[in-house]
Amino acid sequence: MYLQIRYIGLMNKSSLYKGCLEPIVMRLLRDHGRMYGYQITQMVKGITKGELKITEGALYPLLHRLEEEGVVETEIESIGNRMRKYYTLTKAGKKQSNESISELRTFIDSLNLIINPKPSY
Amino acid sequence: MLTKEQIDALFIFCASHSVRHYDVQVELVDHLANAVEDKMAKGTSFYDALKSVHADFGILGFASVVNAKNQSLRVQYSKAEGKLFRSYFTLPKISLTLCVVLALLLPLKFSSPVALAYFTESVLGLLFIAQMYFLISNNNLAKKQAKKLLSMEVLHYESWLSVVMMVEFFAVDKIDVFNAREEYPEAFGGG
Repeated sequence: MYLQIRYIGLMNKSSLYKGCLEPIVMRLLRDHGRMYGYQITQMVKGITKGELKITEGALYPLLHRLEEEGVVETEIESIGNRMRKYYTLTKAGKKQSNESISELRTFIDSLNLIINPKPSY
Repeated sequence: MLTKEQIDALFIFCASHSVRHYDVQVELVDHLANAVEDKMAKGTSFYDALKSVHADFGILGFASVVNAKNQSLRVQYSKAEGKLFRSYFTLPKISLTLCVVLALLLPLKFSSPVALAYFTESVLGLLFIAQMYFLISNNNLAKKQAKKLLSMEVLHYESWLSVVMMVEFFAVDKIDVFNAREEYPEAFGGG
């Protein structure tokens, strides 16, 4: 038990957030329609007031995997002197995002039960 | 907004960090450009901003992005191949194939085993030549493209795998011909 608590204490924030990245990205895409990679990183940073920073090395592999799974689709547009790739949730992706967010909520509730155990009378 | 020269410098930067394919570079360049613009707005120079943004990609740099894209394309192509393969299994297509195969094989049933061996070899040979022709045409097309695309390279790699399989079939068929030669030496003009 002591070792487990010590391990959690040593984990940095990004390790704690790692498993939550997928529902976070899917939620943002559901709420904002189409988004590009940098916009996602900045929006997460803004919403969480800098508490959560999505690294590029984690975001793009995730977006490519979601594209491969048919959860998101992409379109490329010319923005001035460069091209920009936008990601949008597919119909299946929208359905999956609801499930993913609900799983995250259940996970948060379970964590709450561990962190704030209700006294048993 | 970055100038065209600065965007070109970002493409060169990606290429010098092992991102050779245009379809991967496009997304990375846009990301780098956005991040560099933000840093430049705070007074950082272009190259210092670029250095700092690249560091944000971690120890692996762009490698994780390239590997993920590669893996994702392979899975996507495999899925597409599987879908194409399954789409063959419809009653009209199977019936037509059976009719063609029967029309080709029935006359051979009444001919010698040597003719059968040569027939199989010729069919496989023709298929092999046709596949090589399409592969070489695709290769020439890819060479003519000014920009290398990872999506094309992965597709090309998958096509070569099917050629390897075809060569294996060819080799097995060759063994069959040798066996036929041993079994029916008189048919091959031997003693």
